[in-house]
Amino acid sequence: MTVNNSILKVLQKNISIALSSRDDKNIDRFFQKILGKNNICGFDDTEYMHRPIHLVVCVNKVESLEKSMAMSHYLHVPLLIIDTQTRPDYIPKNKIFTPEFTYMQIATDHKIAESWGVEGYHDVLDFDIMNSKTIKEWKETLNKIGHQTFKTIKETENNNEQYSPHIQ
Amino acid sequence: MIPTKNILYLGPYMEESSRGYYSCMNIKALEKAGHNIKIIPLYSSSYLPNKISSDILHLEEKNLEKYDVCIQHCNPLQYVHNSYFEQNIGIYDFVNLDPNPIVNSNLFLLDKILVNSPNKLTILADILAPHVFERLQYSPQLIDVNHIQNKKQEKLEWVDENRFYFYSELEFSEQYDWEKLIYVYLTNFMDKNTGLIIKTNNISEDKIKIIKQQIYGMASSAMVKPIPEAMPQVLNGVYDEQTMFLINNSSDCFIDINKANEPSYSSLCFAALNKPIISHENSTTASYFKNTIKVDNMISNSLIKHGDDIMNNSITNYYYTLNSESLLNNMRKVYQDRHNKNQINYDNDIHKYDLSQINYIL
Repeated sequence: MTVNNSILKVLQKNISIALSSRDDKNIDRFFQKILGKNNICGFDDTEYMHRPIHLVVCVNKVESLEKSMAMSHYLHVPLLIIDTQTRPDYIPKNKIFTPEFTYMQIATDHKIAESWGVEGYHDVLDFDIMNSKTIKEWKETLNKIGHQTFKTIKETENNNEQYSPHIQ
Repeated sequence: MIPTKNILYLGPYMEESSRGYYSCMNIKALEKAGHNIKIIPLYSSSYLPNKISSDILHLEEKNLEKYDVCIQHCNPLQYVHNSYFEQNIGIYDFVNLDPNPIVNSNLFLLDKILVNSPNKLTILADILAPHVFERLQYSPQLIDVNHIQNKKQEKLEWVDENRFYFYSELEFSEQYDWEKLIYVYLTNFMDKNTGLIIKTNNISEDKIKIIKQQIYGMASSAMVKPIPEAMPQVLNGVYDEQTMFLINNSSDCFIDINKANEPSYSSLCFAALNKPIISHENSTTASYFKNTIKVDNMISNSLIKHGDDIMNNSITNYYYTLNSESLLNNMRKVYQDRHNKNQINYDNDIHKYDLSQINYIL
């Protein structure tokens, strides 16, 4: 599936996403408006998918981060984490886990971003379906992250570093 | 002359392993041959993705309007056929040659499957169905010969120019004859004129300490007084291509005791540098280079203990173990040749393995 998805992703230019949950109908409708009905599927559909997935979208990291990361890694596609809820008190700030591969984090408002630690966020964007500016920003964001190459963070950090072998 | 093709290449080029180097070299060769190529990294093993030559990474950003060929360098279970491409090519470089029916049918999906080792091809001839085997094609591992030969002056800073360094790559496990190699070195070569560099892959600091104690123990049981600066030096890690080149260029003789059916980057590098390579007679290195200095093999105890398992896994080289006397004689000969300043031309037909040979695969 990894190889198949990687090939199909290159051949199809329009972004398709796998949403961690389709329970929130507002979010579902919002993405349908941006990407088109056929370019969204839930995790349960992905097992049988024959179409490419460019991006895994995790809505609320409290609920489905682990599964979304596994799916991202399996398909070799970037992960977009969208937080719509503030950090619950039972999760200490210093224990927040971030993926070690290509990902992006967006909060739907500043209060949510601050509760998790604003420095971890790439952007703040809401789901205002009537606002054309918001829709344009979302389109640009999805296009940007969706066409990125899946990579591990370690590799991108150390990319050009040269070092010398040392004797043990 | 093969016309320019638009190629989609998926492979483990971010892995710093033999597979990673192999993948990198294929990409460089395809680019050098003038093909348009887009690359996508695949992460398929536990090797840490790390530092890699940055000169191919720009190919990830390339987007072509149309693709003619798709090359999949991955586990055969992941091969897919896509009728969009004129040609679907697979690169089969897995060590475990599993005669599984799914592998058979997956190989049949592709138009051509490239295998980088003649030894492996021989094994696969017995395992695969004849109609599948027909699709296999030998395609050797490649290296940028001119690039290597132009950098002959570059060496590691800490090596002693006056010392003769033997170099080997191994894992400290029973599958490698590492104890034999170290014993032969300690008892016959360790002096102010020689050194032994051993490269291994990411093992723990604790294990390194134990190995060092074991090496000192071997010296004392052989009643050899350890000379600290001539004791075997262990490089532990995965290195980028340039660093591997520096290690190879700083050494004088490669002792390839790897039993896998894969040629290593170092064996190609040593051949390109016209330096001697000592290897066991059934190795892939020996099948690549006609002037490999061959060490006799003996049947190993592991065949007697686990014979059937080994036969079933078809990993033929694990049957063998190096003959210490033959290893010693060959090491001595190479060392003497150098000591006597004999100019030996280890003509290994390295140009057969130059990047320019890549067009044969398309």
